[in-house]
Amino acid sequence: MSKKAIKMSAQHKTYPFWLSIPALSVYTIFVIVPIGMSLVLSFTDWNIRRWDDPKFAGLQAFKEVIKDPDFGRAVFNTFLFAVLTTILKIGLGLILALVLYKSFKANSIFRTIFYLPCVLSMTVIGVLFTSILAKNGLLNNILNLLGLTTWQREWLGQYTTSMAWVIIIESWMWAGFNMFIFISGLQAIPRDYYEAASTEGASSWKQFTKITLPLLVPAITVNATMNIAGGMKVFDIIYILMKGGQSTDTQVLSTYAFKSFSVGYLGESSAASIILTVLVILVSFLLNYFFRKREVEV
Amino acid sequence: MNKKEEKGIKKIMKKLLAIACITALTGTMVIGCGKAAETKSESKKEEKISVMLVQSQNIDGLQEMFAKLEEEEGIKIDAQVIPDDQYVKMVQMKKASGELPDVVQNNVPHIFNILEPEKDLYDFSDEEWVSQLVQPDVSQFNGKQYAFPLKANQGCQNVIYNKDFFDKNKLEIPKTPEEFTQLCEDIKKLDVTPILMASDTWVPQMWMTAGFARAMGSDEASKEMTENIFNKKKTFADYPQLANVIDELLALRDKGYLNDDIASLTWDDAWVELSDQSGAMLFGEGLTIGQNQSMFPDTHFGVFNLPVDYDAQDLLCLSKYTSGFVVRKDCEHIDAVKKMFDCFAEPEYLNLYFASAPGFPAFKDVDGGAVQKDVYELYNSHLEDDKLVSEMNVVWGEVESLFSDHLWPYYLEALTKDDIDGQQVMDRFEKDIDKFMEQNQKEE
Repeated sequence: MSKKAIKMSAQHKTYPFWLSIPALSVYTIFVIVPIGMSLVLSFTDWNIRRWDDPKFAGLQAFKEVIKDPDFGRAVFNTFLFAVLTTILKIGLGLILALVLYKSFKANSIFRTIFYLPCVLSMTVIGVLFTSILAKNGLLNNILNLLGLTTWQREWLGQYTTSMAWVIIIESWMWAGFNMFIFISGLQAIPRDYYEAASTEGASSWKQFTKITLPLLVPAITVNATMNIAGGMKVFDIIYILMKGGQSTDTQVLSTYAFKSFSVGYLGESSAASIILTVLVILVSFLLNYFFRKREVEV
Repeated sequence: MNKKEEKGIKKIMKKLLAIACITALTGTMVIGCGKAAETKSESKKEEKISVMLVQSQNIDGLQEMFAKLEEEEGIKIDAQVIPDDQYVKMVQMKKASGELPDVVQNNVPHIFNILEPEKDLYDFSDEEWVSQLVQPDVSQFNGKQYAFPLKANQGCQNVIYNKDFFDKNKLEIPKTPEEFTQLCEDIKKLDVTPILMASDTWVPQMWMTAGFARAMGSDEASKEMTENIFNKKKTFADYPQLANVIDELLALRDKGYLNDDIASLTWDDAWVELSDQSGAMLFGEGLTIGQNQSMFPDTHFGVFNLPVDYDAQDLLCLSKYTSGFVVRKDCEHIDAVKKMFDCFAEPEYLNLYFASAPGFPAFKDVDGGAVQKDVYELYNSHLEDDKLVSEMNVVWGEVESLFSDHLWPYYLEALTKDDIDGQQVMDRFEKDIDKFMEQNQKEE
């Protein structure tokens, strides 16, 4: 090989690296560096009143966070929210995808309608549902019209109903997004499989469980990983609908870290953020591993 | 032209295009920076003061004052309006990172708990306008004038009621706790909520803040109790009257005198319900009637002091703070700020502030607008009888950072759950205070 050819080949190999530099720089500055700094600061007693003077405190901040009963509650709520929203988003997304992936009239209109909630601003959603779920809101008025007055509740005022509604709203918002990933998965499944199964006399249910579902596992892996990670990092919907999780009942890890930060306990806030980061990474990896093992080649 | 030459020209063209792109981008940046520098140097000619404003504190009135200042004195105000719930955090962050604006608006003296007056703030004690202050102690720290107040004080914390509803149903203003209970019972029978309590955490806290001060009986007693708690000489269990304030409110809730949607009703909605007679009373600052009256022009509101078992003296709780400005000690535009304050101390400026939101002005000769007669009479009668006490939040100012994220949510939780009593709330808060003090001791 000539010298020029070797040089060209080397340039071709390094070409993607140079192109990824801008993205890597942004990612490093805005993600890697803050996480690294949080990690370092979580081992200090950093306080907003001692901004310039954080001192090494070992695991003290982690101990303070873990012994706080509100933290346990926040961890429970975070997992509850993440798991239930993941199941609902995947379930609803799959149903919508199965209905809408075949072409029919107004198909694209329906797809747009179901996708729309996830592009709406969280503030808009918050205002909308606060009005719907208020004591004199739309939902209670409808129940009143139907004569179901005993069903009327202060929906956002009690732990169970408020958590339930937050989970429902989040799932409603993102089911459309999951639907699109499932539609791509469904479109990748060759029609021959179904034709062969039909010839063999397999029922629609059998075709769904034996062909569709196994071949959709890669799409489920993507959705499940993104949903669980997103669910564990939840902040905005809790902050807006439940006023920042102002009651300790409805706090999640992100709002807990935010509250520590607000009081000025920056070391503890960093420790809570690190715990959240580790949990998100761990759960995402485990889930990914679980589904990857079940993936089938088309 | 052969293929090789063509390739060479293409290569050169590509390089030239790349150079042109880089030059254009760099040029744009340089020009952009140049423009910024130019603007900066231009702005040096006109005085520009950066100000942080609290969203809820009569921005309209202030904007009118700023416009007049720019027109008459050529001093431009670069205002940044911050939502109330983020304000303290924002000031703390800006202070810590050395990015405080020239002027910070907030409740005074509460701001002295976030910014250290002697270390961070400019001392205006020698300014002429200080002698014109009606109630100088509210905005001073250790006898020095570290703030420019807009109001003398924020008024009193009392019951606000719907006069039309009371007149229509021939209801009388209660003078004793028994009469108050009877009044609530009568209102409840009319299928109207006697007392409206909102979910915004700063709303229920007013009941406790006023109640604690009244239960302690005097400002001196409140200060002594605070010192004992903060220095760990005593605990809240040694002051059962504080837990009793919460328990008495919880007893009213248990009797069904409070709305059943405390966890979701907003302060604004509470005013709507007070106006449309779904509710009869709410607890708050009397001067807020002036701000809300424009939204409910046909409703007549009145005030009375809440009769309670834990205060036999009938003390009235004074919101001993004011909306005002503090200035960074190393402010580069201090002459312009001084000029601004000289102007704002004049009636022709400060009258604009009170035109749409009547209150008690900080300066003599300023027209505070038409303060509601009942509010004025209630305040004056207690002032004359020397029956005013300062709200507990001012006395507990050292731990102010804990209020909005800890203490106030605890109050709300006690009201919205059945299994929390007053002592539990106070014990929980005491743990927060201990931790906070421990952190501060590290600093020392």
